[in-house]
Amino acid sequence: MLPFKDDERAVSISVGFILTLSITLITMMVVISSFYTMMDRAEQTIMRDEFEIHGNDIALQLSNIDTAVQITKSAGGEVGSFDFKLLLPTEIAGQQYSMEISNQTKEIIFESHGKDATRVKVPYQVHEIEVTSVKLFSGSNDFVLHYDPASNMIEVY
Amino acid sequence: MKRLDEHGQMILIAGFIIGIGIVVLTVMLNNIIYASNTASESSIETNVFDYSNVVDTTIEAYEKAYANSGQPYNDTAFNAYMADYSERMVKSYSLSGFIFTLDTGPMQDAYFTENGLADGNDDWIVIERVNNTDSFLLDKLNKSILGNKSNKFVIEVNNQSGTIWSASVFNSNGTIALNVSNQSTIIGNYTSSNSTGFINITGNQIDGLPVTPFCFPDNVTGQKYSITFINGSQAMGTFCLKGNLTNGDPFYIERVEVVNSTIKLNKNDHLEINVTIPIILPRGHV
Repeated sequence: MLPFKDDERAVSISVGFILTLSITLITMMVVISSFYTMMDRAEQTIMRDEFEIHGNDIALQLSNIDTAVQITKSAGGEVGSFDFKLLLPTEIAGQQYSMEISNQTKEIIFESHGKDATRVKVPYQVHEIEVTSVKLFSGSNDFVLHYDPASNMIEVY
Repeated sequence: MKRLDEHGQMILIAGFIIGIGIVVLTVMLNNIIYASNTASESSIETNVFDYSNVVDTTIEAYEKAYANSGQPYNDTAFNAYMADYSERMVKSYSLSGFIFTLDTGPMQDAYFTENGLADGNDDWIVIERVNNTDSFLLDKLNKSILGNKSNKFVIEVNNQSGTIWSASVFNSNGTIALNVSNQSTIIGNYTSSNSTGFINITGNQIDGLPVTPFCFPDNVTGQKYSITFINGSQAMGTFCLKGNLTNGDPFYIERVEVVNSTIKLNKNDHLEINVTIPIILPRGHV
């Protein structure tokens, strides 16, 4: 039997096992954390895509109301009321979000938890009417674009 | 024996690589499925074209109903035509998810505003790019509505340089007064003693009787002009205008009555439109 100091077989097995385990664990941790980062980025990408889709939908509906008002006025008529119910999800990519309409910049701004990476700005165009500036938060499924003929403005609530 | 052991390790490493590969693939597939599912939640609708079609078709239906109602105007025939139209529209638009409702108001005497109503646009261009006017008639001028001299209704004929002929119509102590002038001089001042309020501008007649010519053709022939109504809310009656445009196309504009039409559109309960459009009848064509 070799003296403990000179017995390299057992040591090599232990060291080999510890090394292999350490490398495996480190590799797994790196891989898992990179997956999480990837997932997080994918979530933000999806969120922005979704925000763009909904933003463009709202911009289109605002233009539709504007065009309908123009058509009615050019026919000499008056719009009594025009309501469009927006079907926005409560959560996008598992997160709540806010929608802001800015009258000054003529933009629809979506963002989730104030993160810059999720912020999307979609411009809208109206000619005959104006849109009231507003900031709304997800949670209610029923957002309504309401045209008020008295003020000639679209209110969102 | 030692070599075989090494083969076992290779299998282990290969299994480990395959395992990682499966995890990566699963994560990627999951992302793709997740993205495609969430993106398909939104639906974009464009209803403005449907609305535009409804307005155009409805205005045209009123014009046809009025034209088919016979001379003199037959209320029953008009209402029957519109009821039939409404029923057909309800059926045809229900296929695309719309609930269409049409309400027709009573026939009203028309003002000389753009839309025929008292609160309509006062100053407006009746027609542009006119080459010649064959007939220009005003009839049934309502004396009680007609404004006084300080609030008169004015017909202006303008070319590029300015007004070449104009007529002011106003209520002067219970009679209809008409002051006609051209670019530089007053052509004449007329009154209508009869209550019919009929003025034939191109035929130089008031209440069916000839008067000193209004000189309308003399001042406008050979010109390219537009006809404008000023202060239209101060006059109520009918008018008819016929002639040709500068491109040779004929035009015919006639206003006898106006009717308020209320159109309601509802789609799947998330789109509601309610508009009231005054329809001028018989309108004519340009």
